[in-house]
Amino acid sequence: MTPSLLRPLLVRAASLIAVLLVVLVLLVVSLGATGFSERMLGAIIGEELRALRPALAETITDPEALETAVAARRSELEAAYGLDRAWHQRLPSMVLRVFTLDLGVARTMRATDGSNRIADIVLERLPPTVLLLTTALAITAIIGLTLGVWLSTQVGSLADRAISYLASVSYALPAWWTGIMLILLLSFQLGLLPAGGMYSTPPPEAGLARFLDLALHAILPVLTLVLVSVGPYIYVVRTITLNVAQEDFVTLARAKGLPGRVVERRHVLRVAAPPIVTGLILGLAGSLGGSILVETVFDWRGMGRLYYDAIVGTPDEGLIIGLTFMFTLLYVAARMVLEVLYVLLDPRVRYEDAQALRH
Amino acid sequence: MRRRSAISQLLASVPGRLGLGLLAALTLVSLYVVATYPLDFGPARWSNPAVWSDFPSAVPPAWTNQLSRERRPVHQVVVAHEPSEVAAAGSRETRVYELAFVQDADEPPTFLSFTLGEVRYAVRPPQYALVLVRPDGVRVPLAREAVTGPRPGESGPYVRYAQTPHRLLLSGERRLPEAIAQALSSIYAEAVDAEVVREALRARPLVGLFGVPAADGSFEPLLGRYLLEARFAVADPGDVVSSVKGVAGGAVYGLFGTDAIGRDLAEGLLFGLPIALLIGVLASTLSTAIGTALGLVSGFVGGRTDLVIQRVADVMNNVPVLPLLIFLVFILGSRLWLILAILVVFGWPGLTIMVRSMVLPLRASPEVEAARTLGAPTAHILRHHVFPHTAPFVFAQLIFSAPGAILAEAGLSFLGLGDPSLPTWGQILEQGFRTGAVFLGYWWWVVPPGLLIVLTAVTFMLLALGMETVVNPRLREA
Amino acid sequence: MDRLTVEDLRLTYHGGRGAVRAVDGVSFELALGGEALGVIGESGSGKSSLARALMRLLPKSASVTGRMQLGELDLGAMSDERFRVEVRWRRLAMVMQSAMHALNPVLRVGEQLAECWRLDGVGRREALRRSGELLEQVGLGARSAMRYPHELSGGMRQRAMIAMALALEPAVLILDEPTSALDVSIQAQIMNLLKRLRSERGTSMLFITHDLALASDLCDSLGVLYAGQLREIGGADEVLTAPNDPYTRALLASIPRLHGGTRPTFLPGAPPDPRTPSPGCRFQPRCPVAFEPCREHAPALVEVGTGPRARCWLYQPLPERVGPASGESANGSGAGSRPSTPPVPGGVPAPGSGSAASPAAQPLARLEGVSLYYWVRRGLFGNAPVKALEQVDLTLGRGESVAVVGESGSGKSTLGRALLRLGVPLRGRIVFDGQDITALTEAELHGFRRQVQAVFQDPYASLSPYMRVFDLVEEPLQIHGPPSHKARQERVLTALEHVKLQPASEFLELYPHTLSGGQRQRVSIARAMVLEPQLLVADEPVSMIDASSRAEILYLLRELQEGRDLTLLTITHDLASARHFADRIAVMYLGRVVELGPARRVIESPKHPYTRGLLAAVPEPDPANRHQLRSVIEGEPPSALQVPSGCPFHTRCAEAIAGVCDATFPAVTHHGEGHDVACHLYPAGDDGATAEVRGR
Repeated sequence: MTPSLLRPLLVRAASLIAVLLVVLVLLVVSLGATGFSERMLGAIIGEELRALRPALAETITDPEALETAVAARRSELEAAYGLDRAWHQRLPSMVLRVFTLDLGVARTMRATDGSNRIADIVLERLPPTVLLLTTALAITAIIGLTLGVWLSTQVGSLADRAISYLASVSYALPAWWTGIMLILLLSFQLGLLPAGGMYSTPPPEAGLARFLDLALHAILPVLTLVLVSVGPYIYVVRTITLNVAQEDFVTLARAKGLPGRVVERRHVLRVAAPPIVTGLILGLAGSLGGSILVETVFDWRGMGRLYYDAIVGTPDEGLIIGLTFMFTLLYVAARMVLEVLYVLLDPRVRYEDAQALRH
Repeated sequence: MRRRSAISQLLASVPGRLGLGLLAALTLVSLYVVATYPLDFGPARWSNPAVWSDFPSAVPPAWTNQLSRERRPVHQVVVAHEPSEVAAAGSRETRVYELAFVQDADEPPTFLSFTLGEVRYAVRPPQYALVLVRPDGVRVPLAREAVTGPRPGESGPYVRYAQTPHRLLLSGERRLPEAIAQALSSIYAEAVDAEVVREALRARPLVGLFGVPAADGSFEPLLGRYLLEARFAVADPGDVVSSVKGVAGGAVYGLFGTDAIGRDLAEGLLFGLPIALLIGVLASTLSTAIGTALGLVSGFVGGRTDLVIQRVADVMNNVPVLPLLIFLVFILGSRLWLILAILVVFGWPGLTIMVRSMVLPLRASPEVEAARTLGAPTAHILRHHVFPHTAPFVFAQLIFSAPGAILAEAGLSFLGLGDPSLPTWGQILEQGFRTGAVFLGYWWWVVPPGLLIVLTAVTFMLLALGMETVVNPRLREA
Repeated sequence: MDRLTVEDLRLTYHGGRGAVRAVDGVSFELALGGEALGVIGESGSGKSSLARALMRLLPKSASVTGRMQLGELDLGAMSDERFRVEVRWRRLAMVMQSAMHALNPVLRVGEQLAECWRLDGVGRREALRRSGELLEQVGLGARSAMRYPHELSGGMRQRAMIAMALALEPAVLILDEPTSALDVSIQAQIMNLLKRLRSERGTSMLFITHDLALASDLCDSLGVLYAGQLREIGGADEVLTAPNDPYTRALLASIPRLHGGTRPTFLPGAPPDPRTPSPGCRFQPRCPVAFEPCREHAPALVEVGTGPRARCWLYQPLPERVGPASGESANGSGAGSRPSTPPVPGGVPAPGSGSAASPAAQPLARLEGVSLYYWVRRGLFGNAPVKALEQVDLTLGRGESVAVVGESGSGKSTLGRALLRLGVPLRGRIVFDGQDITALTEAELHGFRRQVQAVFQDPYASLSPYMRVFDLVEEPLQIHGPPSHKARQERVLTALEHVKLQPASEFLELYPHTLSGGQRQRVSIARAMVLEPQLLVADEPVSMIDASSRAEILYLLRELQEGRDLTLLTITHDLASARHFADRIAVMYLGRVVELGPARRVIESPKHPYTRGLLAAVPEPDPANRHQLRSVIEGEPPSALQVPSGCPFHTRCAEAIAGVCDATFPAVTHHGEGHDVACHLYPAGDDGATAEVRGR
């Protein structure tokens, strides 16, 4: 990678890292200010002491001496975790704690291997969410590009007007409600698709059958996410393509006698690609939020569903903190991928300096 | 292009007109709700189960009767304040209240209840007996009770049931099947086997109460006028029975049906409209105002101010809002103003960045240079020579950001983090989802709130669509 | 010989607000094998539509009729696909006006060129080799093939465009305003290139421009387009020396000449609205010789003797109903009564009396050793200065008119901004009316702002589209003027009358977009003059206005300056008009004033090689032009981020003295009558004393 590519990427990376840090600090500050962090650390200490007690009991038989030993150990631990200090003095260690998902144990949730460590539970749920999100994003991008580019050649036509209305409706659709509607219609009324879960019960053996089962269960959630994001995206692609198609260099490419599809590919799409990627970037945050809700509706065992489970019933703060951080991390990572794509696509970003030369 | 023409452009486009029409309609309905609903509608009415005890639970809207061949009973509430008959015997009086119901459906009512309002008595508590008089003349005794007597140390006159009316769920009485069987045997004894009837009644007493038994143990609905007769025996003529109420529970209810605890969904949905508009308008207005102001300052003043605003905006703009919204509301509490505040705090940066990018070329534009050479103060330049150029865009963004806020609040409510004191569409849906309405097929519970969210959001989207040619004149030529 | 023949071409755009006939019955012939035809038209004349109609590049809303024949091929009858394969770029190629927008920003220049051959199945490597070759032929290094368009300067991009147009060796090259975005020296380079290509390759050219003088540089024949119709077409020599049509004559007369006594004139009014065509001659409302039939009947384009064909009732039998008996105009009675001298529309004030008193006597404003840098970001963390002004000294005497001339990047606009105190100098002093204003705060500048006003280049951009004419002209009064509304209203009306927007009351409620360019610029001037300032800075006040109307604004400014003892600083790239409208001229190059003197001296006896180069590059409508290449300044001006050492011009100067010019900036020498030059070629002036232009 050349230095000229590096600079814009570094700027973007710095900004995204700042995002991550700000979210972390925000999390930790609100935890500290509301006393949540104290409770959380207290719970971690309690857990350790519980584990310690039987071990101590083997060596110390006198109940009173045991209590003293436990109490001593407790104040030791409290000092180690910084509970003896004000919450704002604990900030750096708390930030690190969140960053490493070292958030203790969950109340009721368990990972499939039985672990109750929050890190295990959250990380186990990451792949389904990533799978759902990327599949939906890819499908949205493909449909959006195809339809949007086609529409840009049909401005003012019936299809164009219809799509602009549909795009508004699509934007206005709450993802979770759309999911519910699809369940009502396609699962309960027509019985075509499973209403929720990731696998049938019992799940098929590993291999192709298992994969197909997963795919079948993914259809409705993915369809939901696509439905709510594709409309605006088609519209964005259409508008950008239209603007590019009106540029002089496109006229010149036509004048050069290039066939229509070459003009479209090399001169329209190639130039429209960076802003179209931007459109995808802007839609990413929405898709992420959408996936939380859609996982909830479809009982898709990802981080989003975990969020819901951690909120309703007995609220589990540790899980919620971990998930909030992981979602931010996921978003930042996805953003970075798209930013790299953007910089690769647009030679102009690489030469901001050269541009400044000619002010 | 002038500001006036921006409005006329909006009116000239079909989506613009549609959007304005819808917005006007939604606003009118909201004003009606604001004028007629109590302020504490949420805690005092919506979330108070006592209010909804006389409502059928989880029944579809009444108009579904028009769509199906089967006729399901509608909800009937009959109230009487005056007795239809008074018979005096010395100082004692017998007062008879008649509450008439019409049964014209293929099914019996879902329940039958009787509610006694405030009662005042001087010495002896009044006694009352409830009898259902059927069109075929059969009289089914339903209950026989006395008003709560004096408590130790209390002296008359005694007031009872003033705060909470006394409600009897007649259809839930344990002795009801037996009472029905006995009453029916007075006419239908020869036609059917009493044991079979008893057996059938134990399972579904109401079918028997409102039906004619057949030989096979089933019941044929008995259509016609039913009277719920309440016969009060009072010891003193001065004793007062202020009101009696009978309710025959429907299997359909109102325009929007009811939820699992019998709440009239129409009421909740209607109340949700001003809330949704409030969220949309307030969040978008505040974030647009902040975003525009900061964008103007950032782009125009430049230097360190610009740097700081841009860094902050850049970071805030890239924070994924929903996870953080979930977290903060979870930690800080489910309050509508808090949700609004978070939406505003994370809502302004996008606009700031865009307004700034529009202001930057304007800062060096001949128009601004010209104003500077006139010695115009910065505020004057911003107001007269910078802001007008961004105004159409800002206006469009104002409209465009409203649905986002509405959807965000709804999503949050759906996760169970809505403000419990204010019922919103999202919360209605959440309760439906959590109590399994989706899986039980209670579509009237989950479809309308979503549709209303979509309708409200689409209203704003249509307006934004209508603004498109104002903001992007290039499309006007195409 | 084969020709490109266009017959009765008509082009209509069907828009939402009615049909617009952009081209209305245009016919011409262009011989293949090297003829060049110039089509001259001002904005809205339909000249670009004509180019696009030939290339079939019109939007769907346009309909075209008429015959277009290229050699054996009937262009109109061809299918789109056949037109694309056989005609586009193979036979007809074009160069568009704005090379910035006409090149794809994300493809390397070489790839965009290579595309032309790739369709023929030429391999990628071979195509890239050919593009390199072609780029060298148009004066760009082969390495520029690897560059992206935004890495090239405007002139380089235009060369690349020309190279691209030549790729498939077309029979006809359509050039649509190929140089109008370029500086004079670069424009001259491009014109030389076109001339060379034409003679070397025998490519015929259709040269479309608003600039009659420029067209005369290249074209064998000229056609003048007005409101969609050709008004006159014929051999370049005849059109330039003996034009028949009143519009052509007015156009010729409006060109400011570098030499000779004739001052440019102007055409009042604006072209007709193409949506509401009148039955008569389209030029009639602005025509100084219009007579009876012109109002009602449209003239045809007819031969006039042996000269060019013209569309004017002066030269053709009058329509039947209008006999000479009923007409009162003597002009209309016969074709022979052509006025002997071009009519001069609009009252032209007497030439400036040359009242240039010695500026030092009564100085109003003075720049003393002013350096002004802008900072741009470079590299990861660094900043680099753009040296917009370097050690500039300039004194403006009370009541004089000074023109600052230079190409883009010369710092001339920055000089104006410095004088307006819109930029704060890094070094040096700005003195106005005896007061040092260099470091005053905006609040302290309040009084100064009232005395110094500006008129900007683009009246479209400098007037708020959201304000009415009244608001626009009143705005300065709101800031500085009388508090009473009535007094302000009166001042506004007076100001509008002074700039000849009459009757003033009718303009008050109008928005700028309903006005013509000239009217808008007059509103700008009224706005600047309403405070009755002492100094007016006019930055390229006419460059966005149609050529035929430019002199009107310049005369207006001159009149205001002379009539009110106003000091006028005009910033311009146009040496020829500077000569007519300024007392003194300052020539700038890369932030330095290199020559300064009375207008006549600078034009008639320029000293600095740069001034001489600029003068040589100015196109004049002279038939002799096209037979010779211009001697031009070679190369591109360096970036102001990397100003060459010594005399910044040495990198492009043919007379540079090695070891001297690249080492030190020359001292300024006097050459009489306040004519100062900063050049090592003139080590000694007539008195040897230091002059206003200072060197380091």
